[in-house]
Amino acid sequence: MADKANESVVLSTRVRLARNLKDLPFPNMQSADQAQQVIDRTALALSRSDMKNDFALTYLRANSESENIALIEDHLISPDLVKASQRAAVFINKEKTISIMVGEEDDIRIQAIMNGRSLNEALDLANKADDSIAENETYAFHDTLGYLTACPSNTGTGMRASLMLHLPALTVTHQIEQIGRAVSRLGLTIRGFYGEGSQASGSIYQLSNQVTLGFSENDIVKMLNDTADQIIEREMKARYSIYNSNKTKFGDKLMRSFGMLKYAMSIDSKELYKFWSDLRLAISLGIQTEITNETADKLLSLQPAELSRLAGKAMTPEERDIYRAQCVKNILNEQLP
Amino acid sequence: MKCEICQKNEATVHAMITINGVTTEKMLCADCWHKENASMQEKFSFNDLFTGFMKTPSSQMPTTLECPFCHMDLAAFRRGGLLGCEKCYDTFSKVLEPTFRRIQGRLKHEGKAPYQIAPEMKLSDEPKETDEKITQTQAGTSEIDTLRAQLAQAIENEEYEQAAIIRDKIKEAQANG
Repeated sequence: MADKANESVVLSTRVRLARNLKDLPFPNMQSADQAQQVIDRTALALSRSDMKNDFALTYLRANSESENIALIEDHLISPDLVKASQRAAVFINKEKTISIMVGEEDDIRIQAIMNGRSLNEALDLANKADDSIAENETYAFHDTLGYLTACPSNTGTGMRASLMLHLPALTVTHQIEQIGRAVSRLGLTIRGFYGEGSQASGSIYQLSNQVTLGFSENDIVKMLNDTADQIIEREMKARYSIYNSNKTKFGDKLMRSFGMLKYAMSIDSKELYKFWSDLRLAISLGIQTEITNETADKLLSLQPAELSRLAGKAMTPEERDIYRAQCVKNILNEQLP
Repeated sequence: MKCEICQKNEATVHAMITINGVTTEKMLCADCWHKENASMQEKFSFNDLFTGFMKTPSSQMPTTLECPFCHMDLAAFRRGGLLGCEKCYDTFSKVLEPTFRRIQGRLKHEGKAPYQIAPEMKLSDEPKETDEKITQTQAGTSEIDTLRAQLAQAIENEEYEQAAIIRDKIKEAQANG
């Protein structure tokens, strides 16, 4: 039951560690030469470690704009790294579970991404990459303050750990506001995607630690896990309470969205989030049994750069929405009888 | 109306965002709206939050400071919310301490340390007050390392003019090396 609830609510897990090399300014005060030194030193440190064969190095300036945007959509790099693309690079492992961004706000940002709820595993993965560099390089580290980062909001562990949560029922019942106030008192934060109107887009929220100083990595992960347990329990209760109050009406609403995914001839990215959210909800309530969560989540990859890549050409927004609707059908049809 | 982020495209999305129960609105173009959503992880706006705190004037806070190593000054730090190098932590320590109290709540790191991974890395990066040896050239220590130690010492003693001279020597040595 707990596993089912986790699967129904937690979309993905991320752990990010911010690090800087000793004896160089942080990226915002670096010369182009120094920025290159950071890339070279990181590459050298990795090449001397056990992970030497795991990573491929990509210079952002060698990529086309659409290739870089596709990396953003895959959550492997951040838009800020692209802004620094002339000086920035990224190391990505084969499984695309770890990316090491070089030249963002901090010299090095190690990020582990996993599907579903796996905070401990993601932390282990990020630590492994971090240790591989630390074995062969010296970080800017202070005995009292811990890892020194460009922004004091990261000083200490340099860690931001997060869970991506789907919380449609807590959104419509407005419990999310109350939860927001409660988690902020725990040194955590819950942030919605930019959505239209009063609802977060697709009711997707990110629960993460705000505080990085004074708590160990494991303490922070435990706090996030404990808080996630409570949020998931409340979300599931709210889902069933809405559904049980009028099964036909609510089920009809959700399945209409499924109908749109299956038959609409043009779907824009805002609609995609809404229909995806309803489909996810229908799966968790057992109303929709033909589609798995995994297949549903593939729909979220149909973002502009990915669509251009799939189509092999640039498209106008109108062409893109029509193509998106076709791709949605293809993804769903893989699983439908 | 132009998009509030790129200021170029026409804004087509009335975007609302809820952070800890507080909702703010923005008018965005579809591209920026999409990018904002894709960038959740790193777009925490802690920087904004932090910059807000920094703008709160306090009578005890210094008004002008410049890091002798990277030349970040207090005004730029307050504007951008970012420090320029590890030495800035010393330069701006008086400003940082109340900031840490407010945004972090605690002042002492608990958690992993790089020298747990590589014990030999725990060299005395900050010279002890009574330890003169560090400023002397030791066998196996390069000129640059010695200069760096002197620089750290000068910064610790707040001898910024001296620090600037040493910094230039390091640059010179690096250029020659």
